[in-house]
Amino acid sequence: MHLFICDTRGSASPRYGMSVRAAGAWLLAALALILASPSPSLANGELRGGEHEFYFTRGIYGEGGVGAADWGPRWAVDFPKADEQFLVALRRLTVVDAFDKDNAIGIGEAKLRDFPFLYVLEVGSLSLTEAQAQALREYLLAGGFMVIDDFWGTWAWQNLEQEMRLVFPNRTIVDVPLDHPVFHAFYDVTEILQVPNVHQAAGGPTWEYDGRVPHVRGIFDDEGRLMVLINWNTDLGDAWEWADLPSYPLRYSTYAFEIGINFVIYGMSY
Amino acid sequence: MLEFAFKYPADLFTRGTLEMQWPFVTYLAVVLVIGLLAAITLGYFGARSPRRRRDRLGLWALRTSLLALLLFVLLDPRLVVETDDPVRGHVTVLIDDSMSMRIRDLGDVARSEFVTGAFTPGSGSLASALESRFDTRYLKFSGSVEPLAPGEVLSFAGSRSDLARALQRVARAPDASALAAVVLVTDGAVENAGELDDAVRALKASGVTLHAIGVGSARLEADIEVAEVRLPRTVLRGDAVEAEVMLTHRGLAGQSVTLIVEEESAIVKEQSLTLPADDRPLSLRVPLEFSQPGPRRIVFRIAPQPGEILLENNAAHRAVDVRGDPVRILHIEGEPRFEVKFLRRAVAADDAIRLVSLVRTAENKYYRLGVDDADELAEGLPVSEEALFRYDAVVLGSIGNELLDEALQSRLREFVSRRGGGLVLLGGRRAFAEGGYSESTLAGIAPVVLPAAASVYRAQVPVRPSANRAGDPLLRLAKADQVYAAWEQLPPLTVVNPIRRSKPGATTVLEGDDGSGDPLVILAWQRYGRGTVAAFPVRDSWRWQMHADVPLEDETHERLWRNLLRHVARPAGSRAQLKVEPAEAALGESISIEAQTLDSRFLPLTDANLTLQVTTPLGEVENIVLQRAINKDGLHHADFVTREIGRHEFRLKLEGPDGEAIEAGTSIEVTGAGREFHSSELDAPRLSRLAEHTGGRFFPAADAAEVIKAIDDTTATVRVEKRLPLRDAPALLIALIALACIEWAWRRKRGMA
Repeated sequence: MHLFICDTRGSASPRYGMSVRAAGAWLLAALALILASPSPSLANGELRGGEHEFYFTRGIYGEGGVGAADWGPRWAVDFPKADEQFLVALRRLTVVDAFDKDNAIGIGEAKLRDFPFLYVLEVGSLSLTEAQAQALREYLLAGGFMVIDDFWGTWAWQNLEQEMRLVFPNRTIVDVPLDHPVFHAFYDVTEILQVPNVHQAAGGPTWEYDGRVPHVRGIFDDEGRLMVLINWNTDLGDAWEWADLPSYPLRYSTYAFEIGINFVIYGMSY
Repeated sequence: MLEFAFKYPADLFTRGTLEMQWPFVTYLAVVLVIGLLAAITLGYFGARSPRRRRDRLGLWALRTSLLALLLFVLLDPRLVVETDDPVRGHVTVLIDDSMSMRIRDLGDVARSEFVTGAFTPGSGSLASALESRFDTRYLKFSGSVEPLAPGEVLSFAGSRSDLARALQRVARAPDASALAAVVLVTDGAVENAGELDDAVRALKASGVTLHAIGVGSARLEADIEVAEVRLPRTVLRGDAVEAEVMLTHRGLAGQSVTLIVEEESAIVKEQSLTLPADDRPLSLRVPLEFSQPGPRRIVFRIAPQPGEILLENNAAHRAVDVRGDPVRILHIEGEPRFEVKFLRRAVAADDAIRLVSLVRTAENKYYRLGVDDADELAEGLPVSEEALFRYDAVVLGSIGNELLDEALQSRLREFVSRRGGGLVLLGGRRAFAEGGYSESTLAGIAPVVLPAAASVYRAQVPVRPSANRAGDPLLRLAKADQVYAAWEQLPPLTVVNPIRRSKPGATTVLEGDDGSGDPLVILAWQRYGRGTVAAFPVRDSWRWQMHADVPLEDETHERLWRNLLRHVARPAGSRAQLKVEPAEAALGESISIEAQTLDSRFLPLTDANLTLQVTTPLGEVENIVLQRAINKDGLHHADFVTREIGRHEFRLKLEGPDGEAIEAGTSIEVTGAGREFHSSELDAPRLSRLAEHTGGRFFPAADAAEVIKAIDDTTATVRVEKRLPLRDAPALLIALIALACIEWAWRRKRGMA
């Protein structure tokens, strides 16, 4: 089976409806507006579904974690601004009928099964109960697609591996090659960038801890479809969250939007 | 007395006319007679005439009358009348030579033994009696009609009883009007019953009387028959279809029997059932799944029952062609949706379905999944009939009419009606009325009535089968042979396209309850032209796969989509179509073959290079010559007479002007007797009706001898015009003699003699 992206405007034209760079200025303005208004977060128990085709759903897990006292629960890092700013880009650059607000749901809640796309981050602090692991396993086997982001270094990886073994004892985590459809579902992503957090984006090393090399890894189902997409040693969420910050490099936010949109299109197609 | 005097009955004189002959000599005679009359008159009234005036007048009158009567006789008077004269023509005996005549149901005597004893030409008891009175001819019939020579022994090997053809041959014979009668000897178990009436009408029009002799028992004491099996000729690999089977029986009411279904001699299904009261047919549906591609021989069989003397009707054979190549489905979405993902997953494991998805992801940008090569759908939406017609079915999702313009909608209509493709209209925020299709071409072919305008509506509705549809083949969602019963456990689906009416010809399979009291149409379909259109106005069928209440092992979502896509795609034929009838043929039967060739737009292709081959059960490959049909472009015909028992595989190869080669195949099952032993009890009412329609009579075998008297009573007549001579009528002679004697006596009395 082959995958192709076609652009009906002809081969001489760019391969997407609006180039990310051309949309950059527009996005910055739009994001500034969002920042100016208070976030209508609906994460605390209010449930949605059925009004739109797509909800950017963030997975809630655990209590506390490293740095929780300073930044709040780890699941909520960059929340909700990153989510909503990503949705601005998604709605502007694609025709996805996406709900424009955040949508955080606890891993293990039955309601999560109404939202087949799940975003989870800071999984160095992920600690699943047995019930949550089972719920997550069934969510993924039923057709859910989980994107993991913003965790760095060996210790965080080892924690994720340990937690994923609770979910899928017999499935391995493998690198996703660049010719995989997930890198070409909307944009052609030809390299994996290390997206730094907002503090390190201004200069100096882009990595945290010993996470010098970014990876996109995955867990596949029996038919070869991605169930879990793992962005290790990179922080897409920060790039979405601080895309409106003039000092944050456009290169990173552009990449983060591009690959994030690819994740959504792939997650809605395979 | 009057008839003695004038030779003929009085009624002939009332309806007849008098005719005189006027030959030349008659004119001379008339002149002579008139001359004589003149001479007589002069004689009687001249100078030497009798003195007395009374004598003159009397004798003149007598002589004149005598001569006038003589003149009347000389003119050869005749009475002209029309009469129906009896015609003593020949008799034709039509003898059923088919296998059903071997049934031994006349006590200990087989039907064939009775016929041989009574009707063998030259030696049969009734044949001899007929031959002594009539010019008797014999014809035997089964699948064909042939003369039966004197002394020839009937074989009773025919696998068909084509009585209609036999009667037509008799009716169309040049000397049919001279037939005294036709004697039909048969069990009445005949085919082409529909053509029989025409044949009998033709016989009656020829003035031929048909007498029927029914051979056999009108009611077997114990018998079960697989009377009818309806099964699609072509299915897709993995199709779960229902065979409709009808059983009839005699004398076995209440007994338990087992219907065995064999595929390629292996038992694939056993279904126990209890037989109903006598004369009540039993209809049942047998779910079958076909997993192996290629031609498959299916036998439906009931084991012999106690007391059965007729076992050949306990089975029916069918040939099914399981399509090996997958059907190609195109799913078009105007925006990314989870329906794309879950529909792809639902059919991923189905080898018979190849799904191509075309998803609009941005302005002027489409994402293609499952395409064969870089060129497929490279332009986005199919821009030509050729591009669209390569698919067998299309699923149309949330894509508004601003993208799907009228030209493309018309193309879709042709795709369904002409190409025979399937179309599924899926719900979504830009579908149905909400997509702007209320007044469109798409609304015209949809199986549902679209609201006049878009509405702002969203409801999550529980879905249930509509009335009497729980067993619908589309809803075989658990296992192929089980009715799905878990509707209460399925999560509700989101509806944003409120549709509450199906069109009159549509079948509504699923309904939704939104609490309004007026159910929503959830799944409906109808045939449109050669294809099928279904409406499935839900937004998120994927909830039946993804929802927390649905166990992982549940296959409701997968099966629903597979059933639906197979259902709409199944009628879509290829550009080379082959039709061979009947499905179960008998040895020696002529098979009708029809080949249709189409171009890439599914229009008739007239300049194709066609090759048709049949592979016989012995493995021999034979070319069959196809004849181009005169009245329809792209259509070809051929006939093929079966010579072997077993499966015959037909393969049509089409090479179009573009060099593209396309193949089509089908198969039939040839059995020794075909359906000859089905419905083979004596059909006395039918034979009686046929005979009475022509003025003839029906006789059971025991009374067969009475047919000779019946022929005497009903021999054919012809209407003729007769000229009956009157000159020798006794009355004329008596009158002549009387007149002469009176004159002589008168003269003698007056002394003039």
